[in-house]
Amino acid sequence: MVDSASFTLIRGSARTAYADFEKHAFELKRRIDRGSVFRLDSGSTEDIIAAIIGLDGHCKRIELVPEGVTPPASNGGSPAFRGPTEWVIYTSGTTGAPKAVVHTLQSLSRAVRPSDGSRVWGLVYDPHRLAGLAVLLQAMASGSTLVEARTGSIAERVVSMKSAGVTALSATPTLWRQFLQSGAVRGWPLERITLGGEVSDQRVLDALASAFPSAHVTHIYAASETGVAFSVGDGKEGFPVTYLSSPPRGVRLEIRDDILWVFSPESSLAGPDGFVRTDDVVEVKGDRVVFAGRKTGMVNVGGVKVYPEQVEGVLRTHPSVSEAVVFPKSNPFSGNILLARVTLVSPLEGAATEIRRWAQSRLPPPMVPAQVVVVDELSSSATGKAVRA
Amino acid sequence: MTSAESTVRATLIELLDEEDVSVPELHPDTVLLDTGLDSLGLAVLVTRLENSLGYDPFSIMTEAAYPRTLAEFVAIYDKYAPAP
Repeated sequence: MVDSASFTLIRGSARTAYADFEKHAFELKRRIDRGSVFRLDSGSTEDIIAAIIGLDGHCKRIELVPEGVTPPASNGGSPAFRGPTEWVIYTSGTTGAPKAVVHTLQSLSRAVRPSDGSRVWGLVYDPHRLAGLAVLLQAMASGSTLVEARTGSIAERVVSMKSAGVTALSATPTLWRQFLQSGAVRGWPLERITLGGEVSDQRVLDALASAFPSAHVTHIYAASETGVAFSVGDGKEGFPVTYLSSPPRGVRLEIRDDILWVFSPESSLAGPDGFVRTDDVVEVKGDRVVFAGRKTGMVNVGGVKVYPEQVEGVLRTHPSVSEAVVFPKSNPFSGNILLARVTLVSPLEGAATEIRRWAQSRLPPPMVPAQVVVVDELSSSATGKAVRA
Repeated sequence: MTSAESTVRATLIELLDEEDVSVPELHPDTVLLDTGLDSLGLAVLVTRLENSLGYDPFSIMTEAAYPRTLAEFVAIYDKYAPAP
């Protein structure tokens, strides 16, 4: 790693320097047998950093178990271990139960760019998960400062990152919308903006470009199953169709039966050809490949296949809507019907009816939510993704 | 016993209005699918009624029922109304 020695973690008023992590890592390594299995189930960011420094190449397997997940009993280690270390991380379980996925530090670091230079990164993700680890590894590899802002209200988190001088931040589109809506982002001189974990629609990309005119906005495609696969930095939703013929940074992509497959031979879920089937349904529109939604999130309404994400995208184009989630409800007449929950930018008389009309005039009938309910706030999961329920 | 009829009528009228369908005069023997409501519209109606009445008889009942007229539809709601 380049310049790792200048890496620093800031949480509140506490600062931890790289040298402290090295000491912590040395202690861990001395305490834990070579070739054993190391499980971090209530681990802090500090513990994960120490494990990255001290235990990769030492342990046979390192398991990062997020809160709420009960992993199966693991079988023992092997003193004859020769590497590389298996890193077990869990999927967010947005669509189904969390799944354990095996990586190596190398496959997790695929998108890390040490040469990106020393910055001040914000950490709003759970460091046990893929997205949080990606931020951690980027900050460590580039000798950056990492400011943890995972708790508190949205506005508090923005203020704490702003005052700690954060210039680079990676978050889900759902979190970015909340940051923008908090009104606290004004005057925040962000240089690097990354979106991931959910589909980034054109509207959120445009809103970020206008709120942070000097920032470089990138949306990344990453799944726990594949690690970070590719990034898109042209400010447009989806990705260029040329990525299919000339793989971005060597990561081959294929569309099979409308589903995106990613070449990720190190992944435990890769088939014999090295490709991993993602759960994402894609469509080619002109020179872009755009995401339609998650295959498992697909809903059958009166015989028509509907992706809630597409409906959410249309609802969010309404000038009064700040956030929207759309989810199915079963019913004997049409199999399923969609329901929508939205939050508003500002109060609006008769908003629910007006927003439904907006959808009605832009979408075919099966995609129009039966009912739009205006709420004060939408719940998002521990991974910062909108909860469709 | 209070009937769900007034709520059903009001919700149906509101929905037809939103769908820009001219609202016909509603009689007990009005055929639902003749009001301009298709099966998707019926699904929307049932979903909204669950919100205002607090129950969905179609998810409670064990056999499939496809009410034809407004009266039949209301009768199902009355039959499955939760005990007060």
